Amino acid sequence: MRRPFYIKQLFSTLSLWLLYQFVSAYNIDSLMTSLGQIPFDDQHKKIEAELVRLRDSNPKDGIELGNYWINVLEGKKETQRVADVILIVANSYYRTGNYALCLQYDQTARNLYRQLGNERGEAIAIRDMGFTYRKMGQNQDAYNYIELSIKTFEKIGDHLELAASYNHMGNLIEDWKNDLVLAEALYRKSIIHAEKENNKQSISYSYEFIGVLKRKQGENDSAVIYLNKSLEIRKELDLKFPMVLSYAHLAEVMDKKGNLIEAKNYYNKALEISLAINYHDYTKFIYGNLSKIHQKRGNLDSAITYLELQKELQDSLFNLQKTKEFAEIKAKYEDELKEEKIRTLNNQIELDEQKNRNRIYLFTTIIAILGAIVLIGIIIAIVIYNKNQRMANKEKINQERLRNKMIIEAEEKERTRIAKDLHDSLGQMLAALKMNLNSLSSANGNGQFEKTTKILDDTITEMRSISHAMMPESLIKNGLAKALIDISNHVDTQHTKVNVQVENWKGWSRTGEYVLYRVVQELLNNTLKHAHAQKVTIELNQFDDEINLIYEDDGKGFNLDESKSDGIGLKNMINRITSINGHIEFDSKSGSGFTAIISIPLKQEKL
Amino acid sequence: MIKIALIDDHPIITDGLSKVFNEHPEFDVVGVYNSPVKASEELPTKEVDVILSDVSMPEMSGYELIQKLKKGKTGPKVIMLSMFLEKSIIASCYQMGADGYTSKSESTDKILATIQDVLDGKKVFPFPLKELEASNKDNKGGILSGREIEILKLVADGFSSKQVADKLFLSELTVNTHRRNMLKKTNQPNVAALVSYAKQNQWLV
Repeated sequence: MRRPFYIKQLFSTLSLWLLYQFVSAYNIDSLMTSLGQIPFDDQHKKIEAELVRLRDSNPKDGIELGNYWINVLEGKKETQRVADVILIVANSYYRTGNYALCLQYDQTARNLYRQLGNERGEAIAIRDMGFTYRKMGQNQDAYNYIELSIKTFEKIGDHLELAASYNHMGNLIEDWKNDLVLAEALYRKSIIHAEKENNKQSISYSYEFIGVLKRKQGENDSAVIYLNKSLEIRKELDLKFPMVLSYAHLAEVMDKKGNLIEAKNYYNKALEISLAINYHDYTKFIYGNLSKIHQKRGNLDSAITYLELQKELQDSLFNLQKTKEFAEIKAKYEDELKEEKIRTLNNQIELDEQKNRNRIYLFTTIIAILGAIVLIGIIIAIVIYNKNQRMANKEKINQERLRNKMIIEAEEKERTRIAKDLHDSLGQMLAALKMNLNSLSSANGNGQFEKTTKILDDTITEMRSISHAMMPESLIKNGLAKALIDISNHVDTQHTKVNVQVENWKGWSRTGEYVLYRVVQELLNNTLKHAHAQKVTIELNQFDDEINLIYEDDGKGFNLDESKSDGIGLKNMINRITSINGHIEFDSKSGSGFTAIISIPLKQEKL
Repeated sequence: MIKIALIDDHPIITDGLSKVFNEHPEFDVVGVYNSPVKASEELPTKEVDVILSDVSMPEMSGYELIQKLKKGKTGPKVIMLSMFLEKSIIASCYQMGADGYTSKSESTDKILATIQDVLDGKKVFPFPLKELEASNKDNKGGILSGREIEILKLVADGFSSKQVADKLFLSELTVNTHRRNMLKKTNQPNVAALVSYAKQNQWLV
């Protein structure tokens, strides 16, 4: 039982270690040490505040700390807080431009809030998603999500969030539909809700948006009033980055009004703060605009100086960009892992009980795998053993077949020799004897001459018969097909007719033909001796892939099971056919004839 | 005078035959050869009426020898003399152009009569000439055996191999082997095609 838990522990240790690797850039250790002594709830509040701070000032670090803290909260089953932190981290991703991950985190948070029955949280996550879609240029999606969030907030009467949502909706309508009137109405709606909660920050944004909108409409004085309103609030709250925006917008209005000195002053103020908070992109933008202002004023030296500063920053940003690219590749990989982590987290929250089941499952799986390995091992061993056995068997059969073939070949050779001897020596001598006898006149007329001639004739016939049985000359000279026809002529009697039909015979190996001939000879012997058949049919066929021979008689037949196969030489036939790689089947029933089917596949090893 | 030549690798036979012909004054033995090769070289230059030759000789087969000795219709008559009586061997001799075939073990009178008949322009063989003509002809493809047609008729009537086997008291294997052979013999892809092919050729009538 211990093994699976060790493994589980190993995995969690490993993942924690990996996580520490990710967060090592931002000094989380020292932060945690400093928070070490205070209660957990306070720790969380401090970290959440730190996360919000980092989101606005250093989102990358915010992401690292956030993911670390998500892990910690997950360990404590603090689902609500997990969702809150995920939402902040999603915002941090938005700031780094990683919209895909931002959407994924928002979606995760949305799901967690829904599980918790937290409508507000869910609506915030939805609105954030809308905001991200807007940034991605998917305006219709953005509209749908933001609208959905507004409906929820109105239902639960959350003015704070309504204020933010209306601002977002205003931005969207202004950019997407270019409907400045509707946009202004939305901003004003936002202010009304913000005022109910006295949320000045939100109001400052609404004022800024209205200011910019007024400038677009050419109402520069109005623009200045609203922008100043937003600036006042931001100064009061010491909101640095928003202040830069207010100053920069004011400068633009002044520029438009032709008040270049005021424009330059506002830009300088914006630049001062922008440099302080290292907001490089905006700094670059301000340098460019300052250069233009100086140019307009005929102050070319300054114009050039700002252009040079812009270029310098551009170059350093370029280098920074290079470094960032490496970092981003790493970050991308990390993000993927974190994504995985989030997914795991989701599953764990949803299906907490599954854990135990998983443990049992893991244990069972390991046991099953071990069992399977052992089983596979056994199977492989059996298969190898069987294969060896089969090969040994095959080898044995092959050797036996080869031995049979050699015996048959030797036998045929010997038969041929004897037949030849009989025929060539004895036969010729007998023939000569006959001729000589013929030339003798029947001197003494007591019948002795005729008797002697008769005995000699019988001797010659017997010799011929033995010779033929040994090895028919026609088989040697004319091949199997013709030899079969000869055998049929030979056997043809009044009682039994033999019909041979040969199809497409092109000749075959000498041994093969001998074997087939011998088998037919034996079959015929059986038929003639036992079957009382009237008709025997022999079909010999040669095809590209097969030679087959069908032997059939219409005799009395016999039951194959009962027959002592050795008695009628069936076993012997099987051995002969097997020796030439062939196959023989017998088909007979008592009272219904006898059939033998021999087939020899071709294109195998040559005989 | 009948000019006669004798060819046999066994001297005992040529000696015996020589003795027989010497006793008959109408024959003049103009050549005795124990080598068919030598005979095939010398005989065409000689004036010979009839040649008696063995069939089975080590240097040259009887079939080949016949072809060498028989050049056109005007050449000498060739009679094969052998211990063998197998039809296929006799048929081969006939087809190669031999004029007669007789067994060495026949009586002298029979041999002499055969020679006389051959010289009279007859073909003298122990089997009817029609059978010999037909005997060694190569079988043409696409001919089904009686058993095969019997089976094919039943198949055409829609019986399965099993049913055909039961009807004919055969095993299914036998029936299937016949079916397979029929397809291969007629080069048809399947039984349906085979049936229509057989009907076209009116085999199933």
